[in-house]
This record gives sequence, C-alpha cells and structure tokens, in this order.
Amino acid sequence: MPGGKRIKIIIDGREVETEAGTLLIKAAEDAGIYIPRFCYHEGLRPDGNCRMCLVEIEGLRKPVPSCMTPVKEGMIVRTNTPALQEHRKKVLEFILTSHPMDCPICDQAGECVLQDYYFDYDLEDRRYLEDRERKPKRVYWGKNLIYDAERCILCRRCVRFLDNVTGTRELGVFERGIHSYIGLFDGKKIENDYSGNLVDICPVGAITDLDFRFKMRVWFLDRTPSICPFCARGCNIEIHTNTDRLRNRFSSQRVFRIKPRKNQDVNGWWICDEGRYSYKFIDEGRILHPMSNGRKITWEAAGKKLREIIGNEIRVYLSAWMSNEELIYWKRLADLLQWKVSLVKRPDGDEDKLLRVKDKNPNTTGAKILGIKEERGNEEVSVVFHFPEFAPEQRIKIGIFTNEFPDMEGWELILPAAVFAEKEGHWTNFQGKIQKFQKALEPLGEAMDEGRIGEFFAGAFGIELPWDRQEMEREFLKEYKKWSGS
Amino acid sequence: MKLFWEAIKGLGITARHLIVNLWKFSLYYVGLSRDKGVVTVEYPEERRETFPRVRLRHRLLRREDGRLRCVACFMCATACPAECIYIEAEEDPDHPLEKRPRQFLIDLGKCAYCGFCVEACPEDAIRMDVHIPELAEYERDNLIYDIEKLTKK
Ligand code: SF4
Ligand code: SF4
Ligand code: SF4
Ligand code: SF4
Ligand code: FES
Repeated sequence: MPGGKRIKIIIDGREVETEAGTLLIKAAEDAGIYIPRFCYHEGLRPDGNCRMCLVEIEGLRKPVPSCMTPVKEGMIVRTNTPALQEHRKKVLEFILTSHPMDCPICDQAGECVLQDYYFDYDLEDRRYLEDRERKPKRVYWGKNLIYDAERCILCRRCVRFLDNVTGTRELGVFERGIHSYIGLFDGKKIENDYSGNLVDICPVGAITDLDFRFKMRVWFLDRTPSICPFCARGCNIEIHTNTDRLRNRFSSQRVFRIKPRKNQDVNGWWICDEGRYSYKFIDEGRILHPMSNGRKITWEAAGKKLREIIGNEIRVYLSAWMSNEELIYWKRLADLLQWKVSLVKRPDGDEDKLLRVKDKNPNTTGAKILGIKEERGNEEVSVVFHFPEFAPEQRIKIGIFTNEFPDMEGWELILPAAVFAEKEGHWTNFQGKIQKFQKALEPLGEAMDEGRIGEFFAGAFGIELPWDRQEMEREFLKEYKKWSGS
Repeated sequence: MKLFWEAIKGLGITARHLIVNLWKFSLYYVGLSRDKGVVTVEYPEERRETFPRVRLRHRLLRREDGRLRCVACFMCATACPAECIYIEAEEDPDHPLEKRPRQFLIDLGKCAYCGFCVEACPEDAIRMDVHIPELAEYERDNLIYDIEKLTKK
C-alpha cells in the first residue's frame, strides 16, 4: 500500500517505523531483522503454511505467523525468544523426518535455507527412526525443470508463482499428509516463458535446473551484478562465473548461470527464460583475433588495413548493444573524422504483460538520446558493430563482432569485441533508467571492449581521442539531462 | 696448507664411519649385536617399511555393483588446500544415485598429501595409498591422474 499511513511498532526492543498494512515479516526485514521462513516470498501472496516465521506479539496468547500478520500501531513483537527457537527446531525436525538429506548430490546445497536453518536452530540427530517416505525423484516438468518430491517441503511457492505471477497454473498439490507432492495437472507441462524462476524461489533443492544441474557447486561461483541485454527492459541480473585455473585448462565454460537481482522498479524478482538461458554466446563461438577475409591477423596488421581506407567515405553502424559511454565516444570519433553514423539493432520480438518488451536491445534509448538513427547509406566503407547481417553490400566491409558467423571471408577486416560480461558500462532501458553492468570476466583471446577499439581506430587515423569511460559517463549524463528535461 | 689438513680431517671422518659401521654390521651379521649400524637400503629390491601415517597417491574406490563410489559432490575439491582436484559431474540416468563424475582429475604435482580429501568424502570414495611410493614421472602433466589411473589396481 504505497503512500499509506506511517506507524510505529516495536520489534525486539527496537522502534521501527513502517507503513500501515505491511506484513510483519517484511517490516522486520526492512529494519534489518530477518525472520526465518520457507513459504513466504516477497513477490508472492502469503500462504502461511510452513509455520517457520512464528513470532510472539504482546497481548496474544499464542505465537502468530509473521507472514500473515499486518502491522498495527504500537505492536510489540519478539522474534527470537527461546520458546520460538524451540518451536523452529520442531518445525525443522518435522520436515527432516521425511527429507532424503542427499545434500552431496543436491544442487541447492550451499544456498539451501533448510541447511542454513538446521545449523541455526536444530543441530540434533534424527529421533524418527522409521523408514523414510519414498516419493518420485527426477520428475521432468517441462523446459529445464526437474522435480524431486522427496526434497520438497510443500511450501507451495511454485504453485503460487504459477498462479500469482504467470497465471498459467500448471501445478497443484496432490494427495494428502505425508504422501503429498506437487504435480502437473493432467495433460499439462510447464511451458511458460518464466519457468526458470521456479528454481530460484524453491527454498530447497526440490526444483533443479537441467541447464545448471550438476555443472558446478554454488560456492565455487563468483557473482557479479549485471544487466540482461536481451530486451529493452534491462532486468537486473547476477552473472555466476568460475574461472578457476585448473578448471579452465579442461573446460572452456566460464559462465554457469544467470540469476535475477531484485529491483522493484524494473523487474521485481524475476527474469524471463530467454534472459536466463542465452548466456552461452559468452563462452562459445567467440572471435578471438583480428581477422581479414577469414584469416587471422595481428592487431598491427589490422592497424595497417585501417590506414588503407583513410580518405574514403565512411559510415559507421553503431549498435544498440553498445553502452552509453561507447556510443557517445564513437559519436565523437565519427564527428571528428566526418564519418556518417547510423544505428543497427536486433529486430523486434515477442512481448508480454510481465517483463518482456518488444525491443530486443538493451540500449535503444541510449542511442535515441544521442540522436543516432536507423538509416542506411551507400558509402564506400562501412564499419558495422555486432550485427553482420546489416552490412550493406559495399566494396569494403569492416566489422566489430563478438561471435563467429557464416561468411566471415567477405569481410575486409573483423575486430574481436568483448561481450557485455567482459566490460563495464551503462545502458538506458525503455523506461529511461540508466543501469550499470559490471565486469565479470576478462575478455577472451585478444578481444577488447568497444571503447578501446575506438581508441585503436583513432590511433590508426592519426587523431588523439583517449578512451576514458568515466569521462564519457559524465558526458552522457549531460546529454541525458537535456533529453529528460525537454 | 690449512686446506690440506681440512681435507685429511674430512677423509678421516669418512673412514671412521666406514670402519665403525663395518664393525657394527659384522657383529650384527654373526649375531653378536642387535645394532645394525648405518646401512644403505638396496632400493628397489629392498624397501623400508612405511609408517602407518604416511599418505601417498590417491585411489578411487568402486561399489559392489562396479559403479564408482564417488557421487561427484565436490567435497574433496572444496576441502583441498592445493586446489588440485578437478571434477566434472554428469547425470547417471540408470542409478538411484543421480550424479556421477564424468571426469575426475587430481594433479599430484600440486597435491600436498594432506589427506583432507579423504576426510571430507561423505561416500568413502577416495583413499590414499600407504605403501607404494613410486610417483616419479618425466613430465609434469603425467602427474595429473584421471579416473583410469586412479582406479587402476
Ligand atoms: S534440499 Fe537442502 S537439505 Fe535437502 S538435500 Fe538439498 S541441500 Fe540438502
Ligand atoms: S517444489 Fe519447492 S517451491 Fe514447490 S512446494 Fe516444493 S519446496 Fe516449495
Ligand atoms: S591430499 Fe590434500 S592436497 Fe592432495 S588432493 Fe587431497 S586434499 Fe588436495
Ligand atoms: S568427496 Fe568423495 S564423493 Fe565427493 S567428489 Fe570427492 S571423491 Fe567423490
Ligand atoms: S513463512 Fe510464514 S508460515 Fe511460512
């Protein structure tokens, strides 16, 4: 309830100011007091089924679930009394009576709240010595989802996600009591475009991701905040990488998965499946050296080739995948050398009501702010960024690309560019928000970011225009203010 | 001149060791003493006994059904201070233990022989030899042992 009345409550002896109607668990979290939970998720409607989040409220005889209780003026709440700890221990013991405890082969281990809470509250041996309930394991749910009924703690987050968020309702709870499990309704498979989020919201390892399954243990992953480039929304993501030396000798995989990062103004808690599973281009099929007509050459030779085209009419086709800084730098370079400038980008695609927008490029707005337009010309030389398919059939084609493509022989010169995960910068999304992506990896091979390639061009053409990303960031902000002010 | 005397002194020490040890060993040989003196071990025909605490090269063990005990949980790689264990896991479609190693490499050239990997393993899948010290190779890369080498009898 935005703009609601501000009220004061007391949590664990601390005065906390919050909005009337906020759920207690959220009010506490915002104040830095974490109440353990399985079923509550900020992005879903509360369900109150796991009883892990119970708290004591002065004046009430029994503990109440903080995920179902809205705050009231003057409430006095305790979240961590010995009685509550004892209670949490019992909830855990109850869950663990039928848990397979196969953490060694469970992908969730290391980021599993069941493990964490066990260490926080339980640390007891099993008292229940009957045989554990056997349930289906490795059930395929569609897309990349594998379900393990034994690990499932029946928090119903997955069921609620498909109801509250995507509205596709493929899953339900079947059977009763200890025999309950989550299952697909008859004749359904999970096929919606947001399926990967189920893996993220499942608090345990009951839903695993075929794409990530068994590839890596989570504690070996470095996490870098970034922005998804696959549509103009620019969902906030984290890139999970591993560049261990011994590992990289035997495997070229550096990026292991993409996870969403919460940003309520842009993407909430979610990302779409295209954004999640399209990371392979970062490690596969990359162009590693400058090339000329399909043959590998050195950077010096590339510089010589560039000097050969001096004096011709040139048009550069900047791309909507370049950062704000790179765009403004290249625009300046083009102005100095009197080149013409246009924009190339991926064609529009599907959109939906949740996150995905039509424009499948991260920085169309940035290009718009700088007044770079999509137009074609027939100059003698064209310098094309990222999208070879846009090159006009001219005598001389120069490309700055990240990944290999079929007819590289037809190109006079190709320079290897770094992908977004290998550099830092900003994109402006369709809402006009400037968002920063950070560098997760070193550029592969001899690839360089587009700013440094610009510097290389400037050098070859005999002018002085140093690439200073921060300087360009400030320059872009000036343009941005002009644009948003008008 | 001084140097000359030093050399004589050195030779004297060598001679003393030779004579004393020859004497001790002769007494031992005819059964008059239990002190053997200092005698070179005739490796490889003769081997000194290893102490029970010694840890040498690694072994991967198999289950009764012939499957590797290892479930590719990476616990050993996590515990390893030398970061010399490389595991690539894969789905095991026909076994209730869903996960198995597709590749399992230990770089014995980097290994510190601390035994943490053995301690960490929840499946008792990895152990270390105590008796066979032969680990010499002409190339460093031959010290990277794969599943085949690690399971060889
Ligand atoms: S869900 Fe958590 S506790 Fe259960 S096996 Fe996986 S890591 Fe272990
Ligand atoms: S599969 Fe995961 S999210 Fe769904 S009910 Fe089970 S534990 Fe909860
Ligand atoms: S013995 Fe120690 S250093 Fe060697 S592989 Fe095992 S854990 Fe690593
Ligand atoms: S700890 Fe044991 S089971 Fe786990 S990967 Fe290492 S050898 Fe395999
Ligand atoms: S988090 Fe409140 S009952 Fe589950």
